[in-house]
Amino acid sequence: MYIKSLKNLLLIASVAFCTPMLQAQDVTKTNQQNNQLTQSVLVSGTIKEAATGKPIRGARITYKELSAAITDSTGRFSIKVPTTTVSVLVESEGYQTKEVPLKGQAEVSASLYEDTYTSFYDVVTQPLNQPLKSHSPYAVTSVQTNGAWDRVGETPSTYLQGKVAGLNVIRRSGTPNSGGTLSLRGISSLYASNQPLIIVDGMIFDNTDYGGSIIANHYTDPLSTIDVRDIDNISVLKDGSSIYGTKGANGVIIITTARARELGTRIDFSAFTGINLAPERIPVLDAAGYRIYLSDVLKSQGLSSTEIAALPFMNDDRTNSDYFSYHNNTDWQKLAMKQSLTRNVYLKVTGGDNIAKYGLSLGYLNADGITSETGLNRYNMRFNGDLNLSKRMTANTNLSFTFNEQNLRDQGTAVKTNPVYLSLVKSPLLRAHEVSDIGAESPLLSDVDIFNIGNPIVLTNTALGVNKNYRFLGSIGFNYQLSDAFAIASTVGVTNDKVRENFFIPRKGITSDTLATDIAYSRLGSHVKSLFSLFNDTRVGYSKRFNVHEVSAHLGMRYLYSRSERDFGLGYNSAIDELVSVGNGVNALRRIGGSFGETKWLNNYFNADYSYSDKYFVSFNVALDGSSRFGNNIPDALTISGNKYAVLPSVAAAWLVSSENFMKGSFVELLKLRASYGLSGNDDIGNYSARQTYLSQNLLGVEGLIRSGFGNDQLQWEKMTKANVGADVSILKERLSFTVDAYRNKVDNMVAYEKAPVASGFSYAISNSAALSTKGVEASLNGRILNKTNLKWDVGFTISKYKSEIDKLPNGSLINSFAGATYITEVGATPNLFYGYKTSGVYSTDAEAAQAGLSIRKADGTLLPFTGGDVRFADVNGDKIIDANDRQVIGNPNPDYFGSATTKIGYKNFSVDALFTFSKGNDVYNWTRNQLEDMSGYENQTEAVLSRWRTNGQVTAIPKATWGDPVGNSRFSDRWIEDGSYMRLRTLSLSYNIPFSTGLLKYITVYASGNNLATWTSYKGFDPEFNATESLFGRGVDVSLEPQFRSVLMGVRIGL
Amino acid sequence: MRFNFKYLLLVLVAASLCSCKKWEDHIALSNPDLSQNLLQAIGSDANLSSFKQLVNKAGLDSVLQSSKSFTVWAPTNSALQSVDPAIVNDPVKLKKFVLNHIATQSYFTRDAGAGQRVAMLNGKYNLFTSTTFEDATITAADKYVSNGVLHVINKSIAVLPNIWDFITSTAGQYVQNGFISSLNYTAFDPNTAIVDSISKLTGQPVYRPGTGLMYKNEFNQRVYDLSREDKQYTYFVIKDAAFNAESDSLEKYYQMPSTVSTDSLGKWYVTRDLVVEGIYTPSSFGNLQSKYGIPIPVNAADIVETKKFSNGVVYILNNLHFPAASKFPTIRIEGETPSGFLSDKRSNTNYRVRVNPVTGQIFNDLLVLGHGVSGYYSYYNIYNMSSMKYKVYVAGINDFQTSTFSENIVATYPGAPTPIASLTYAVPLSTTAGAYDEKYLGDISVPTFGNVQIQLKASGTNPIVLDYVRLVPVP
Repeated sequence: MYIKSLKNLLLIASVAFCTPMLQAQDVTKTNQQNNQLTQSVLVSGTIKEAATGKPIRGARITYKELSAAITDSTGRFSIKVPTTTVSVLVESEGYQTKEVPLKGQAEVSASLYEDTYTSFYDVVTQPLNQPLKSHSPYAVTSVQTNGAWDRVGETPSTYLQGKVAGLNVIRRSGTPNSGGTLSLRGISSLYASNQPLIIVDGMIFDNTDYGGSIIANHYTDPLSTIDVRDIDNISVLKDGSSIYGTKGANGVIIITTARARELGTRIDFSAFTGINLAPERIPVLDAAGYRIYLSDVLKSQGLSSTEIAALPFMNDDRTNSDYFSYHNNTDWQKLAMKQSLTRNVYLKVTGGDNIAKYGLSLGYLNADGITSETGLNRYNMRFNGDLNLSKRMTANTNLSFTFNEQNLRDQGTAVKTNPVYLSLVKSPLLRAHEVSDIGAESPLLSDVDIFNIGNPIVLTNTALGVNKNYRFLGSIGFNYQLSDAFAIASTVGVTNDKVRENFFIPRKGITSDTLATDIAYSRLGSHVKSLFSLFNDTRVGYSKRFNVHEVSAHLGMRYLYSRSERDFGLGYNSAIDELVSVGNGVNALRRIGGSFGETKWLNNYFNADYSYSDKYFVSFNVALDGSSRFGNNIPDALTISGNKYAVLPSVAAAWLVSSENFMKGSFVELLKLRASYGLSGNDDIGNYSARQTYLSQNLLGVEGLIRSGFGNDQLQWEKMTKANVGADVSILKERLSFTVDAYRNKVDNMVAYEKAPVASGFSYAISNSAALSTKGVEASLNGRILNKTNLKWDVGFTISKYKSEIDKLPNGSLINSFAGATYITEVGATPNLFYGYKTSGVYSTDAEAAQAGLSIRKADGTLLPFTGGDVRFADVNGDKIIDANDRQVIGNPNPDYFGSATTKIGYKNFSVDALFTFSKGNDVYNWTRNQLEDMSGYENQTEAVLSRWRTNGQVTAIPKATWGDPVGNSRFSDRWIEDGSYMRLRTLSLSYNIPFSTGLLKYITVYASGNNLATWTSYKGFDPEFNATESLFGRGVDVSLEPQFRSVLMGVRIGL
Repeated sequence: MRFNFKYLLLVLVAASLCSCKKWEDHIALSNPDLSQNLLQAIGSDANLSSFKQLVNKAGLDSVLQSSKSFTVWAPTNSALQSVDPAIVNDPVKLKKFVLNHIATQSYFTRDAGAGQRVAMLNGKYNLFTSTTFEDATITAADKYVSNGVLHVINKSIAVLPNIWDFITSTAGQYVQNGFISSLNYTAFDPNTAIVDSISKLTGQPVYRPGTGLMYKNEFNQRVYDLSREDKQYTYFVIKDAAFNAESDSLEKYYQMPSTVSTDSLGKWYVTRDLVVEGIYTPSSFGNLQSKYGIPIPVNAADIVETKKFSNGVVYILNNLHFPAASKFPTIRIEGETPSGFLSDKRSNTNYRVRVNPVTGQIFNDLLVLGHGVSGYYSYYNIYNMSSMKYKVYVAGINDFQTSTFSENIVATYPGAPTPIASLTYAVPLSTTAGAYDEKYLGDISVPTFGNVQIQLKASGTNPIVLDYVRLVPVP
């Protein structure tokens, strides 16, 4: 059925293609003679260097393709232009490109900065063209990587952190290659993706980790298969993304990889090595404090003092055979997290001739994690070619292959198998190794201890966890110039991605797990994921200039087919710990499973751009999208032969005020006002949610099929209406420039889980029944503070703020849970607010507690009153019983604002770069501290519990230690909600160009750089920045992931 | 390059300064006392300087600094003035004395409530209430420090011996205590024995001869272990004359071939009923009952002396006489719980539930029907049966056949060739009047003390049926 509909679409598309082509051919003829200057004015001017004021010789001045001039030794030029209301373009080797508006004058001057200077005259990459930023009507940010040589170990997502206003990058963890969660302009969906669309060299890059990992809380970041040093430019398109139809709602990130720019062979080689430092330890109790804490817990458990004294760790008799096993003071954090190394070599060769140019890069990265025995080996290769096949035909190819091999361990709430977590809670009384009764240490690692807590060193040293993945991305594109105005272009590409994972958790040293029918001692697993996608983008382009009017238009079609599959096998209880592969598990306990998904997407698009005199810019885009995910009964949707299509138009306009005649003599170098309005969509609604599907189900050994939900044939894309206004301003001859944008994104038809009628047999149904809107502002600023020949100091600043609000929900408020945290989603409020109990200290006496008269209701219905030393919870509904009805909003994981600051100082051959990032006002649920201060068991605790309540009259903020915490003092409350604000010196790098007379070498630069050198935060955890899940309902929950660490790198870069 | 390093180092130092503050407020101690340990807390109180000296002298300073939880009830300087110098100057006694004020774990007045016996580090238990500690008053309570809690008391608490110490130390003074002390025997304790090797033959450990031997006492093993500190007992000592008279009066019920044994048994059966668990005062003597269910008829006027010990109280009595009637309770044998049968006839054996139509009460009985063995019997063991006359009462009905029959109740020493006595019971038909009432069969006289077997014996191959037999002693 789907093939048939595709055929229909193709038919429509081809008809749509041909019609304007036929009409356009006549227009071409009539306008041909306009390509000469009929009437002209002679304009002259001076071009100077901004830093010194010296004239620049040999700068090229052009007005379109009509006239050109070159400056003389005094920087003077004169050029013919049709009228003095236009602008001319200035280019010079080693300097920035600049557009100089004439503003009615016959004499102009301009000063040029060096070519790496951040400017509005930089080229931005948009889906269909690469204009100067000053010509774009969109809110678009272009990031020139300039090689990113000092950013070793960054993935493209983490590299973008702090680079773009409005783009929030939250690093997932400190695990190498784990990347960051991207979100552009706040929240756009509850259940569908919030990540922007990524385009790499014109091809859609699938950036989803389908199906997750069998290694707890690991995320295989597909973007990590791109080495940042292969990237030339990243353009982030915040509005105007409707050209990508139902994939454009979250904005678009367009990545352009490095290609040969010049014909001569150029070789860049770099090598780095560095040290990763173990994080600062969380102040958990030492052996003495822990043992006293433990006596209190044991006493509250009901053990008599003689029983407690008889426990082996309380027996201080050195002749006791257990003495040395239980009388230690082990710093487990030191054992589990260690300093490690990063090494990297990278080679890039570019060159070619006027027929073929190539760019080849090879890289190897070895980045060890700070959890002992973990680390990454990455091998990457990229080949980009550009071919001039004929006068009219060009072709380009992009081939890349990256292989990652990574040793990993469980993270997060896997409390039995997360070595970082276990290193916090493991009793300091014990040892990592077995010890004899006279204190001699054995090489054997010790087993699960008397407190039933596993040995974190067994997890790092004996357990296995390996993730191997590769991604091949290949595309070939053709461009055929039909005539001066018309061109046909087509790109075909494939993505092939495979992820293999294996893990083994040994029997000795790890706490057993409980299965439905057995106890899992050792655990084994294997996992394979594959992704294949085929992409095609074919379009006809038209571009033409009529005097000062410029028109361009594109009509095209994109097609994406994507197929993903995952299969896993889990085994348990292999006979011995030397049998580590999944086949060695007990047959009866083996579990296999998997999933697959297949989707097709067809996007027909039309784009028209119009500009007048390089001052007024209008852009119109419309997409007509079909997808295998859409239901076929969507009300009010465009229907073509039975299939439903999304029609998503948008319009954008800009006015370059500073090029107007009345702006002459102003201190304003550039002022552009922008506005855009349009629709786009989010098609991440589930591959099969619109269909009626079946699942296999085992009932008492008989296999059968059950319906797996309603097929909602009205299920459609989430519709986003985007409105944006903005201004780009540059003053004082570009010494200071800034951009301000304000936007409002309104999402209708947002996918939500709607309560299903009981008679249906399902608890919920998926429907487009929610709505949300996000408002925000963002600003970025760049300036040059010092501009001397030998000393240049640039600063940059970005800041962004958004607020999302739910407009509509199908059934009242929505409660979601993640790792003990509860989120509430309510109409009129931010979607993912922390919802828990408010507290105000601890009852200092029994009398105080009795006066408050609060209780909890136990499972058997009886009331258990709070007593002295319990936490004073707020009784919201006044019924004197603390229960779920007393929960309130206690925090918001979304930041009030976030951004970055950069500074770059260049002094002679030295250069110092620093990047600061910050996030303000985001609340964090510190799950880790919740475990480390719940005082309900044998787990080690932080030093805060030394101040625990002991008896009547003690005034303290820490409640009493009670076994099992019967009244729930440690429940999800504002005690664990912390301010996650931070400011961090993300990178600081120093480079030095070694000066020498030219010979074989072009340059040598040495680098020293540091990552995360300083973090200013009041957050009580390893690190305030983490993200355990891609879902909205999991933001801001610190589940003991591998923390980000400090690292210091030294390296060299050599050019041949 | 050197410049680079310096710069980096500077930044690293700055970084480490700025990021470690975040925990400081959070882990700051809410009370400065918590930074002290108990030894420091005692040392910082001028009023406890004497106690501090004693702690140091006893070598317990390291204990009070260690990382375990302790409670200290520290007597003030004035309270310690009255301590016997003999204790202070004897290191062993001094240690015991100081440890009598220290317990492991934290005990706050909040937990004490009306009273709690707390184990001290010297093994003794002291009574702790919300205001007192034994007979001392708590003057300053609940000072919590890093490794426990400190209470200040106005009196020192002497180390008391326990009841067992009293018994062994007065073995020569009182016949009763001398008798209990004489019940010591040597036992082997594998936990304290030294293992020489493991036998290859049996896989069992081979212990070094002469190790692992310990004294145990029959009385402590069988009645109450009076050396236990975690329990409390009330123990009565009868002065020699009355004790001898009482034991002599019982001797006829414990006739044995050897007079020494008889004498011993007489004493045993007196002393075993002279201890009760728990503390009793004369006002609560009304319901005293020994472990064996024998009422103890103590007359408060007979108390000569009352002695307090660490695990209870001892009353020295002028006189105590147990009435023979209360000393020997009725022996009741339930038919359905036999100790065994002559032979295996389980297919013929019925354990029945029956209703007495007269009272409406449910009862269980035993019926063996059609066993086909002449003189088949079920038997019931009675241990340590006193030598005296017993009246025999029987209940059992014939509700299963119309023909009437008899059965025999036979008393015999196990394995003896001739029975002590045999009584015949004509089992009544359930339809006859009074069939469900128990019947008096006659008397049996047990000549010597010992284990006796009661047999329910068939007359020929007739059935046997029995609800119960009651043996009422006639002293």
